[in-house]
Amino acid sequence: MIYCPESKRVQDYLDDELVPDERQAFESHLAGCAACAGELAVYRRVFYELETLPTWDPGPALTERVLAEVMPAHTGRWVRALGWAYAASIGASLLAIAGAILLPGPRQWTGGLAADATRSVVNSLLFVLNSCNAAALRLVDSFSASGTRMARIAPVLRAVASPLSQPVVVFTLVAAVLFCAAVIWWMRPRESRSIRGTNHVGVLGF
Amino acid sequence: MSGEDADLIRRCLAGDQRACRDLVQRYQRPVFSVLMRVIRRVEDAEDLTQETFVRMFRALDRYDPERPFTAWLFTIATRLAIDQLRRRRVQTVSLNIAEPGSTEERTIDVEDPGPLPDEITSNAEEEKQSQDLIDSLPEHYRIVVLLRHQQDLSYEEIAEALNLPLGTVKARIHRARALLKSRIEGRSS
Repeated sequence: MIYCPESKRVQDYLDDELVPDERQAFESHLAGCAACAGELAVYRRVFYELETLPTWDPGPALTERVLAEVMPAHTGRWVRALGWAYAASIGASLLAIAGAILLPGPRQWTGGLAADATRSVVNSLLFVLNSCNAAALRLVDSFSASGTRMARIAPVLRAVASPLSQPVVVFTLVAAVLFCAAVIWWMRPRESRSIRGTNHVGVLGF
Repeated sequence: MSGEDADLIRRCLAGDQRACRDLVQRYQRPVFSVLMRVIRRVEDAEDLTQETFVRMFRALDRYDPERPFTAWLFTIATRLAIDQLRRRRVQTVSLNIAEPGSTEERTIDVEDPGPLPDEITSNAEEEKQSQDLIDSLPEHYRIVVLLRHQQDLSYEEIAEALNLPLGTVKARIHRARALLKSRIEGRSS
């Protein structure tokens, strides 16, 4: 191929680096120079090859790696999945409640269930009131009938023992004592820091 | 800098995690692609892409919005790539020897044992030819033409990113294109 000294301008021309006068002069030259026109065609191909090179996406795993490093508080996917599962379960529960209230079949069943529950609650309250009433009457009787100190205390003990003869009351009291003991144990003062670095607060001030 | 970039950066600085994710997702492909072309090892390119974004986030509050964001990001990426190549000097693909007082450079090609980018993509003949073409360039030429043609950076931005004189950048890009031109001519003859 014939060499033309003007062909050195081909790259600048394609880069749009020539000032308007130079550009116009080079375009006029191109029209009559086969060597420069040939150079231009091959350089256009070079530019095309470079601009259409394939690219690669490293994928979402790399995004997560970057975010995990720059944001310590960044929540992982499994945490978000757990959150969505929790939200979905709440939504399903609300739908079930709405269905139980609004649909005729489930509404009847729910009504029966609510009536049973109400009866149980009322019976329990009546039982407690009756027990208290009986205990109070025995107390009043004992104060009016006896003269000695022990004779006065004995009916009180009987009045207290009366509800304790019921298994339900004993079970409730034992459960309450165990629960209180557990709460007091959990609130005990501790020396070591927890894993997250926050100090435990001794609620009871021990 | 595009308005979208400016908005993402402003939200990132305000602590918006969604914006940080969007910024990474927007630029991870171009950054990883350039690093793959330069480093030519998938694991190293992934590590350097991660490091690029980590450094970017840590320096984001010092970023000058007057400067193009892409140029700034690729400054971080290419400097990491050059450091990595220096560390791997023994296994380097090519050696670049400049004569004192001259902008001309001689290049000695040495076989590279690392996997090539085409090993992780399709085997389409045309695509492979394009990749062979760019991979045939010495790495100091490859970086400048990728920044110029794939990332559309100006000569000035490339000079700043690579910390090179503007004349050297121009000379390298022209020389790289001339090499590619001669290889295309050889391929078609």
